[in-house]
Amino acid sequence: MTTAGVICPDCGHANLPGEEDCSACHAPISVLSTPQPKQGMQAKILEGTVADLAPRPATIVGKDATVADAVKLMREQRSGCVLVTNGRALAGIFTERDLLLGSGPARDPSKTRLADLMRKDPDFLREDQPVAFAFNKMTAHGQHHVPVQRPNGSWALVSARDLLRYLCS
Amino acid sequence: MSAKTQTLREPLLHVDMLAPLVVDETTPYSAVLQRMRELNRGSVMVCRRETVTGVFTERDYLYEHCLEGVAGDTPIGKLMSTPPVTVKVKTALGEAIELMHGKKFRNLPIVDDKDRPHGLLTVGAIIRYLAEKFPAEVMNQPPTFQVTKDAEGA
Repeated sequence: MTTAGVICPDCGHANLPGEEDCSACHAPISVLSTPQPKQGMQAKILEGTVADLAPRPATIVGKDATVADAVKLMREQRSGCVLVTNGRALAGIFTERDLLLGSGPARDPSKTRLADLMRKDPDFLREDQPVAFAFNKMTAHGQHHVPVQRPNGSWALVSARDLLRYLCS
Repeated sequence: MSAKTQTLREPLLHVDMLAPLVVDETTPYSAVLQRMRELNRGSVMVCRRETVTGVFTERDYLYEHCLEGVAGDTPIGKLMSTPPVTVKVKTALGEAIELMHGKKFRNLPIVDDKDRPHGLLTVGAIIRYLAEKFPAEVMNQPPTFQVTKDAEGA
């Protein structure tokens, strides 16, 4: 006889009903065993995935770029954020807030390396992860932009505004 | 009425928003940037005799001023975005969100009945407010979402 398992949304492992954590990846899954009313915004949080937030292709710069290089790209792309990569790996994230806080009269943007002002090794999400993960990043961790890795390895971004649009649509 | 509808009908008064960072139109650009940096704020409300006349945001700094060598003593009144779009504290949250979506604003100055600054509604503040309505769904997440393919000890 087989028992219906609880599928971990993070790694896809089938767990026994009632398990608190996924036995494969240790992600918390107890909420999945608890019957809950799911409608409206709650359903969107629990059942939606990061892909539902319509991640936009990220503006990418190399790790040797200057702040001025990044600003020009951000202006061209009308974006408030760029991702900094080293090869295909994500090395950092640079936002308009980092620009505001890190720049000043003593720093020439054309001579300041982006690597000196970016936030290094940022957390990122995958498109198949729950919307709740992105929501958590933006509230508990205060990240306005969250990098998203697509299945083909390319990088995208979701912002707090994308999340708000999704929740209120 | 669903929780969503009820939430969006609530007045902005219920949203825990930041007290506005207010400067006068004559405040020098360099002093405004310094205050924004000190307080880690992305925008300021610019006033003339207590009435909001414009806003200046980190987006303005990024798109128009950071590479242009603007003189530090330039009055912020010459650089701000104007006229400001503001809403009253009694406005419903849903109405404010609609306005922010329509105009692509991330910050919306909230004013009292006499157009004096009351608060600054940000996308971040709205997200945090909605998160408070669904604490179990949003906050009960692992501190990091790293995936390990093998069970511990395997």
